[in-house]
Amino acid sequence: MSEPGPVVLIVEDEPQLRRFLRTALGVQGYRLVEAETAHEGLIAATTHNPELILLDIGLPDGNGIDLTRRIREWSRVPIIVISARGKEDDKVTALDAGADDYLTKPFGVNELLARIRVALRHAQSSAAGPGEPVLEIGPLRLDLTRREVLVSGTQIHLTPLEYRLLALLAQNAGKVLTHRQILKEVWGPGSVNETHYLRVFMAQLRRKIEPDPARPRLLLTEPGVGYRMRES
Amino acid sequence: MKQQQPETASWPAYGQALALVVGSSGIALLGRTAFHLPDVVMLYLLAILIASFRFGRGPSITAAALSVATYDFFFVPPFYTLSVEHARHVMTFAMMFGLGLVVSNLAARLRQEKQQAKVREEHTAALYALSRELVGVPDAGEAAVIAAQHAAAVFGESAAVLLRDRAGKLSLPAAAASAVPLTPTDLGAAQWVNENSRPAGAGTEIFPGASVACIPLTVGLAPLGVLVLIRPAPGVMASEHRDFLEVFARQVAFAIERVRLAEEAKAATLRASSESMRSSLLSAISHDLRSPLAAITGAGTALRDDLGRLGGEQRAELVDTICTEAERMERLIANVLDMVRIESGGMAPRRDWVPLEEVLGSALLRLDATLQGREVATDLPEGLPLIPVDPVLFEQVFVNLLENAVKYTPAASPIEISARASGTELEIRLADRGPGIPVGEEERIFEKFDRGEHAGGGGVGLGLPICRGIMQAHGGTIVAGNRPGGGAEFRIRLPLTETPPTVAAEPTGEAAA
Repeated sequence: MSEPGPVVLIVEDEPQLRRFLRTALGVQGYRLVEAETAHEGLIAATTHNPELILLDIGLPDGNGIDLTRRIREWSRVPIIVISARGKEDDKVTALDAGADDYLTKPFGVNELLARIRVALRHAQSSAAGPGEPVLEIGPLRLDLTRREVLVSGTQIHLTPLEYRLLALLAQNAGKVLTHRQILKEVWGPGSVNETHYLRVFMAQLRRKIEPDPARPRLLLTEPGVGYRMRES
Repeated sequence: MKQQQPETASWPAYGQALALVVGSSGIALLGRTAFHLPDVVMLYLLAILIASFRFGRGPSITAAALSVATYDFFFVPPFYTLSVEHARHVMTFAMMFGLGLVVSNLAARLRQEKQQAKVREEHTAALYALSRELVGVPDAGEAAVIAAQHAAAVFGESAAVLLRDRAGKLSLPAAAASAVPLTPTDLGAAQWVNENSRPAGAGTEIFPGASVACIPLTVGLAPLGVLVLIRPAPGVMASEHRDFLEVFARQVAFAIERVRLAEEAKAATLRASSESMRSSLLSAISHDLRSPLAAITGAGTALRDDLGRLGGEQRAELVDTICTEAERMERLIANVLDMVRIESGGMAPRRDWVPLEEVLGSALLRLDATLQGREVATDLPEGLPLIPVDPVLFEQVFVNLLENAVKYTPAASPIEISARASGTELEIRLADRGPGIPVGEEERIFEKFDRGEHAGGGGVGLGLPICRGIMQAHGGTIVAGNRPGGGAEFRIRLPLTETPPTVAAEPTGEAAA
């Protein structure tokens, strides 16, 4: 490691999980700051200016969702929340409150590193202004300036809503977007509860760009939470 | 009882009695030359007799008096006066009038007996109808509602049966709550009856001014509730009808007690079976948790205490053991948590309108690693409607069924998934080409902890019971069977009664390319 890696703040009360994260991330060159409670986490977030925060939703002194909201009042640092299975509501609330992604316990180290990479990349690209005009994800090629969609070299015709949906997911490739976030962006703030619109258009979109729409490889469903475009 | 007439004749009856006497007089006057006096007397007696039997006591006495008067006026000299020449005529008058009295008394008694027989018959019919409807009643609340309906038909304008709970408090069964308006005063009277086990309200000595009559429902000395008659028919509480009312109340009380006892017996059986369920769950889980835990501990300590003797390949194998066994434990714990949620009734589906394709797609994605090398053929017709399901739970059904198929069938054998929608139902079929389900086991595999005789091991048999629990929570069903040509087949049925929301088609045109 020639240059020091990004600073990652871990807010986690379980010592075993902290130890695992410390080991797994330390090997990758990340510099770690640890906090055990939401209160400590808030202080660490202000004093250490981390480039990414890993935040457990269930903390002894309050929940990570509130902490996410507090941090979002003044910072756009990427936040990845850690939550248990079966707590889809918590995940959605955390994401809608400004978290960037989530991990479900138990998770493997590859998944952890992939999520961190995606979050850091999105933070950088949004800071750098408008992103790449051409996005390539697997067999999909999306030209944002020419509004052109190709799958394995074949041009695909999309309706305006399908295009906006695909473009939004592709620009956030690798990152989960909640139903609410997508509906707000594509259909407008008046339609955030019409999840069936989104589901019907997503099914149409899959039929156009997935070779087997019943086994999607690009447009992935996060059950009970939202959708995620596969990372390129 | 409601339709019972009081023993007073109406004015038309008097009129008709009068007409009878006038008629007799007319006939006697017309045949005056041919008739002897005794014939005329007979004619009048006939009129009195008919009046007695047809019109009751009052009209018959009136007829007798009138007959005496007209007989005297027209046929007894001096004619056309009410005076009498001979004393023997007075005798005839007395006989005529006396006969009228005796006959009318007889007739009245006959009529009364007939009336009573009719009432008895009605009572018997009412009790029979009540008992027949109460026979198969599943719970006390429904018994109360039925009894109240019958009581209203028999005794008054409307009625309610209040049930007494274990703490002695009265309550109206939920099903009847909206139908019967009971005022606080009515409830106060009912409460008094509940506490004192004596009738009260209208027609009794206690609260006689109330608009309701309350009768205790008791079996032996045990109070079970109160029958409340709202604006009861007059005379319902009178002594001659009390017996019937008491028999009615006793029958209702017996029905309530029978249902209560049956409910208690059922609850006791359920408690017993859920306790035995819990203990077998515990023993199954502790076994299934210990074996992967043993493997993890073994592999972990081997790596930690290795003194440089383990080769690279052996180390990799131990690490792999730790990972797979940990995953196995995770699956087991997730299943147990799901099962507990189903058992505790805490699994209320959060329904949304979703395409089946999406739910199936996310299940296939989640099992991507497990399904490596498997052929999964999906056949979902275009135009399947959106289905009203909880996407997270419904995905779990597919995950469990697919994991099950992978576990019990040869590695390269194909799995087929298809769906068909009729107007009111969606049927999903998941079939494999494995050894199939042993005949007679098709239901047993949905019971908790069944692992199948030929199980390859791993995991308490909770996958299928969870599927069934989830389907039940959705108002659907899941059944298993064998398919022609070998292999198991699971059929999921989901009712489609609601109309899915429509999604307006987007105007085509300005397409993105």
